[in-house]
Amino acid sequence: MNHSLTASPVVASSDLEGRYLTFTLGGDNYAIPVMNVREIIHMCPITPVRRMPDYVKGVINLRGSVIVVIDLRLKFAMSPTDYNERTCIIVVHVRGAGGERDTLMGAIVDTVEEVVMLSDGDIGPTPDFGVPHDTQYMLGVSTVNGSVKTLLDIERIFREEGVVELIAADPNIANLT
Amino acid sequence: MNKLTIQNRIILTMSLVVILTISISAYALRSVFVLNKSVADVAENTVPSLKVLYDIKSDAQAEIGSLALSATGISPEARQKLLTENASASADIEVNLKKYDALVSDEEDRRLFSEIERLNKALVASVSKSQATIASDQSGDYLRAITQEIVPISESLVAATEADIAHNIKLSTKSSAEAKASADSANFYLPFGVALTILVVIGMAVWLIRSTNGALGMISTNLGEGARQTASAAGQVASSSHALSQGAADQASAVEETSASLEEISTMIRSTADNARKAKDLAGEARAVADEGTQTMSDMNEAMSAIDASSAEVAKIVKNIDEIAFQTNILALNAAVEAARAGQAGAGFAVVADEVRSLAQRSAAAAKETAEKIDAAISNSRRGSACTAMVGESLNKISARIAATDQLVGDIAAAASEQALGISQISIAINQMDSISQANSATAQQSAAAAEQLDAQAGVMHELVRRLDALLGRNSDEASERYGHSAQRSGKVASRAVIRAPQMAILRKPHAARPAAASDAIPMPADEMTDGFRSFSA
Repeated sequence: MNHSLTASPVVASSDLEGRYLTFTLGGDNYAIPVMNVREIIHMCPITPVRRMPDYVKGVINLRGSVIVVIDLRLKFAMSPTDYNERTCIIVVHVRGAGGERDTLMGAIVDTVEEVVMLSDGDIGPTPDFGVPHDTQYMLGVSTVNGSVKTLLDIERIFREEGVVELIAADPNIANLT
Repeated sequence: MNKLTIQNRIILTMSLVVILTISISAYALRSVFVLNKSVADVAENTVPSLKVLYDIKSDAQAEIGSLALSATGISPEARQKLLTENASASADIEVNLKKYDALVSDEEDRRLFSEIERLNKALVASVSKSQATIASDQSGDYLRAITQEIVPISESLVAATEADIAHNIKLSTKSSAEAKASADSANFYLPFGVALTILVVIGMAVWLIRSTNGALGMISTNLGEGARQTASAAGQVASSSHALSQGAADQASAVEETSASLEEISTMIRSTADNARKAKDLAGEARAVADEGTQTMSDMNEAMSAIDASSAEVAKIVKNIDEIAFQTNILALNAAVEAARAGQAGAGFAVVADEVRSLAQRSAAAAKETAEKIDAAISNSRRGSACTAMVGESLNKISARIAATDQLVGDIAAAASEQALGISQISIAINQMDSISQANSATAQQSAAAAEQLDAQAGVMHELVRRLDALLGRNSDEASERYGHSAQRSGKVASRAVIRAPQMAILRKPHAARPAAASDAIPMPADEMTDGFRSFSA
C-alpha cells in the first residue's frame, strides 16, 4: 500500500539504529522498529477465523481493510490474559514471502509505551541462549533507562511462522480481503 | 361377794341382823301373845265363868234347899219367905245367866249354856206353876210338884252347871297347856335363835372386817406407793422445770443474738438492694449512652458510605481522565510513528507529538496519582467504615453486656428484696420463738408450782394413807420414811424452782404470760379432803 515504505530500507540487519515503538507483554518490555508500524489502535471486536493456530485470534476491519490479528502472548507461549482498556493492537505491515506484496497485520500487546530513539550504542547483541530457535525473532537487546528491552523482528514473526502464507491461502480471509 | 360395796356389805350384814332380830322378836312376841291370850282366857273368861257358874250352881242348890224346905211342913209365912228367897235366887240365876252369856267360850260352852238356860227356864216355869199350887193346895200337889218336877229340874240344872263348870275347867286346863307349850317352845327356841343371830352377826362382822380391811389395806398400800411415786414425779417435774427454765433463758439470749444478727443482715441487704438499684440506674444510663454511640456510629457509617460513593465518582472521573490521557498518548504515539515514517520532514511534527505525548503522560501520571490518592481515600474510608462497624459491634456488645448486667443487677435487686422478705419472715419467726421461750419460761414456773402442789398432794396422800393405816391397824413407818426422804428432796427442788422464778420474770416481757399461781396449776381441795377424812375417821 505504502509504496515509499516498501521501498525504504527500514530494517537494516547491520544497522539497527533508529526509532522504536516500545510495548509490554506480561511485564517484559519489547520494542519493534517504528518503520514497521502502520498505526496503533485500541482493542476492538475481533472476528474469529476457524482452523487457525490458537494465537491467531481472527480478523478485524480497519477502515475497510481486513487484517489478521495475532496475540503475541500466545505466540510467545505466555499465559493468556484478559484484554482491557490498555490492551492495544499494533498494526504492522509485513512484506510478503516474495517481498512483492505488503500485508497489514495486527499484534495484540498488553500496552504500548512510547517511541524511543535507539542508537547503536544502546543496542546490544542477542544473548546466546544456546538454542538458535529461541532467538530467531530477536534483533537485539537494549538497556536504555535501566530496563531491558527486547528488540523484535516483527516481520519475521509473522512471516517465518507462515502466517502470511496461511492467511493468503485462507479462502475466508481472502474473501474478506 | 367381793363386788359388793362396803355400804352394801354393811347393809347386807345389818339386814341379816335385823331380819334375824325381827324373826326372834316376832317369835318371842307370838309366844308372849299366846301366853297372854291363855292367861287372859283364864283370867277374864274361865275364872268369871267359873264364878258365875258356881254362883248359879250355889243358887240352884240353894233353891233346891229352899224349895225342899218349903215342901216340909212349915208355916206359910216361912214358906212364903222361902219362896221369896227362891225367887231372889232365881233372879240371881237370871242375872248370872245374862253375865255368862257374855262369857261363852265355844260351841260346847254354848250348848252347855243353852242347856242351863233351858233348864233354868223350865225351873222358873215349874216354880211359877208350883207357886200357884201352893196358893190353892197346900198339901200334896205342891209337895209332889216340888219333889217330882222342881227338884229334878233343879238337880238337872245343877248337873248342867257342873258340866259347864267341868267344861270351863277343861278349857282352863287347855289354855294352861297351850301357855305352857308356848312357854316351853319359847324357852327352847329363843336361846337357839339368839345364839344363831350372834353367830351370824359375828360371822358377817368377821367377813366384813376381813374383806374391807383387805381391800382398804391394798388401797392403802397402793396409795402409799402412789404418794411415793407422786413425790418422785414431783421431784422430776421440778427438775424438768428447772431445765426448761434454763433452756428458755438460753434460748432467749440466743434469740436476742439472732435478732441482732438479723438486724445487721437486714441492714446489709437493704444497702445491697440500694446499691443494686443504683447499679441498675447506672447500667441503664450506660446503655442509653451505648445506644447513642451506636446511633452515632450508624450516622458515621452513612457519612463514610457517602465519602465512599463520592470517592468512587471521583475515581470514575479520574479513570476517564486517565483514559483520555491514554488515548492522547496513543494518538501521540501514532503521530510519532507518522513523523518517524515521514523522516526528516516529520521532524517538527515528531517534536509536537512528543510534547503531546509528554503532556498525556503527565496527565496520566497526575490521574494515576489522583487515582492513588482516591484509592487511598477510599481504602481509608473503607477502613474507617470497618472500624466504625467494629466500634458499632463493640458498642452493640457493650450494650448487650450492659443489658445483661442490667438484668443481673435487677436479679440481684430482686434477690435482695426477696432476702429482705425472708429476713422479715425470719424476724417474725424469731419473735414467735421469743414468745414461745417466754411462754416456756412461764410454763416452767407453772410446772414448778405444780410440782410443789404435787408434792403437797403427795404429803396429803401420805397423811391419808397413814390415817387409813391407823384405821386398819397397820404399821406405815416404812412408807413414812420413804416419803419423808422424797418430801425433803422435792422441797429442795421446789425451793430451787421458786428461786428460778424471778429470773424468768426478768426474761418475760410485759405483754407475755401472766404470773402463774400455784392454784391455777392444780386446783386442790385439800382442806375439804382432810376434813372429810377426819369426819370419816371420827
